[in-house]
Amino acid sequence: MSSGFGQQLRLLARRSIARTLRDPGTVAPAILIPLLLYLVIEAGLTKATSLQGFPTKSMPTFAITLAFANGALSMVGSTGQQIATDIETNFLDRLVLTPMRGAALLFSGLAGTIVLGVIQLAVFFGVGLATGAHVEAGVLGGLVVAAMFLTAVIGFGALGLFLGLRTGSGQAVQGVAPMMLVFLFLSSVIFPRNLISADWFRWIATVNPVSYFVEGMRSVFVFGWDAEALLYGFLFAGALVLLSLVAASAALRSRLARV
Amino acid sequence: MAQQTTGHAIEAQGLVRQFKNGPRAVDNVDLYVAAGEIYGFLGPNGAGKSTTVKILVTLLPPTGGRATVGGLDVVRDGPKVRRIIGVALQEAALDPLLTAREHLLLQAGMNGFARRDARARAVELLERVALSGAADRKVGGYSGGMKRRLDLALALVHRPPIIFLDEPTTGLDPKSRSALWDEVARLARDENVTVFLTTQYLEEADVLADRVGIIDTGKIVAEGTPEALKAEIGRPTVEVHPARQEDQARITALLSRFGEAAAASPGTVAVRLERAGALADVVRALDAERLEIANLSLRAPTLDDVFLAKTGRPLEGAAEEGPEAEPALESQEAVVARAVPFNVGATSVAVKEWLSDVRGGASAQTGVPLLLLRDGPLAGQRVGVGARLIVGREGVDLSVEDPEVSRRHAVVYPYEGSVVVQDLGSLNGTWVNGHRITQPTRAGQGDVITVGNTSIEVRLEAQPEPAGNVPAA
Repeated sequence: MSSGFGQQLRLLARRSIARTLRDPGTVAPAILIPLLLYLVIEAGLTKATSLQGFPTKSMPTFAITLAFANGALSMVGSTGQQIATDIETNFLDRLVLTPMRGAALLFSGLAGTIVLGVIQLAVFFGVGLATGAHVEAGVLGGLVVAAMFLTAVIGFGALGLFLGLRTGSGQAVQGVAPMMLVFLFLSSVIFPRNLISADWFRWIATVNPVSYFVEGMRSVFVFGWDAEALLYGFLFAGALVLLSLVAASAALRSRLARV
Repeated sequence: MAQQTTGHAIEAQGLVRQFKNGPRAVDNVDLYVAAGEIYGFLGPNGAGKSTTVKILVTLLPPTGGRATVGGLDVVRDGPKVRRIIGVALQEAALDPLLTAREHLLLQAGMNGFARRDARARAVELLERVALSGAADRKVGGYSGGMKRRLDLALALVHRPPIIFLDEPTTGLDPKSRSALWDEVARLARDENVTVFLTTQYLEEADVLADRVGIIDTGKIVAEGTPEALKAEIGRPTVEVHPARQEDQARITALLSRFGEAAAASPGTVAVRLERAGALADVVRALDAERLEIANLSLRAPTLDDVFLAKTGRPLEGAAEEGPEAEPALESQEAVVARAVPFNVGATSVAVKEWLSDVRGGASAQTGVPLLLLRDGPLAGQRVGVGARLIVGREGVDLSVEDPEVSRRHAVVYPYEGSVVVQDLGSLNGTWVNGHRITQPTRAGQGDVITVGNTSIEVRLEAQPEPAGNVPAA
């Protein structure tokens, strides 16, 4: 008797979703920390909107992408922690001893991540709109933001899978996760690149791919339809998904060096 | 799933696992396990037990030698091997956020069960491991025993003919341990499941395993049935603690007449007796020489003695891992010390009944008496209900020989007008008035001793000193 790929994927995805939703330690930080950052920046940097060259007079509209970007980046820690815990508790060995296919484990591991991403999406949009943010591109623009955000969520989740599988340690994953914040704050998430006065900072923000993800989403909120910004945003998210999945697959193969 | 019927269920030849820049965790191990056998793999922490298991269950490739499970090569046929084995690793591999039922449904589904079959199998296994009441609680709130039972159930989901249990009872309370032993024994007996069990508990290997392999620093140092291994060591050891240290030399000289010196605690003298029944002679000789003793104990050979003999050191941690914490009257040493002089010939015990509720009472149904006398003039005879056994100076050996009921026995010996019962490793333990005993325990008039599925009543009565244990109907 052997299960098919579809059955394995369904079973493991259900488990991934159940454990994500049952763990407040995963859900709460993934929602509250991005919201808190958004509220702090939105309230504290209101005067920045009067700077010449600032793209909008609405700080909530500008800053809401911070919540989305930070929310997506938090998936590295939460998804990586889950797979690392499975390794540390030998649960992965239990699965390995079944006729499990590696791809089922990999894709199902992102199921909980996607569900959490959808919750983030609803909360961030809700709070953003309630605090004065608006979507210049309208409802369709909101759907584009959702698509880009969820693609990035999958990408960062897959990056977390890679880290978890590579290190096999929850502590190591949690050690790496804060570095994601460095990438976030060294991007154009707080200030538009043209207003960053320090040359080195502007250079880093320019080469930091997170900037393009942020600017892609922000363009929909602030400018309406900006094809170039959207292209770069989706390129970043898509490349992240691809590279992270390839890396995670390799790490899984190495981890499952079963005979 | 059909068990491979040819060859050994598990076989390893020259198995080696050398870690990079590390020790050779498994060093040229040869072992063979027959189908339906319970094989106990005994050794201290770090001996190589778990590494061997990981190789056999295909989680770790060997760096040398070969192994087959169910006739399938663990290196070449990994996926096929995994289909015919069930595994419970050293630490229960459970998700604290899932319920027991969810674990079982996941495991069944991954093994290809249809949803309805998976649900039915989950219910069946939850009942079997007594977790039905907690089936829908998150596993994170389970006790260690509950987790272990669930782990065992998960290993059995796809009805594997071979199961590997890596230290399944470590950290369990006596009741949980006993329940798990019963289930493992039942699997081998009723379902002909081959069980490869690693343990660091002497009692577990002794009671449960058909054969035992003792591993130390990656090498198998002894292998055989527990009885055969102990027979190699052979005889019991008597240890005497002199009341006055100045008598130690005289006691040493006196004891040397009864056997060769053995390792002893500081301030004591120990000899391995040349014959099993020499204890009374030792006591009489001490008495005749008016040598006062503070303590005297008799110890039957154990697997620890085997380990000691083979490796030169005791099994690590065995002392603090005493099997049970049930109440007992006194320590072995204290009880036996005050048994001097013996009050012989004053007591008998009578076979009272065969119990039907212990291990199914199979032999009760066939009517074959189970109690076998192992010593005295009628040694080798079986006795039935109503038989009276006189407790002589050397005690009576209550051996229940039905292999499905018990592989071991208990002894009853006289003590100040009553008797002391000592369990020597029965599968179901030895019980006095319904309490499981783990240390020598006193029993008096009317008390009921239960060994295996046999219940024995103590009768205190004046008896002439018998020549040996004489059964009288």
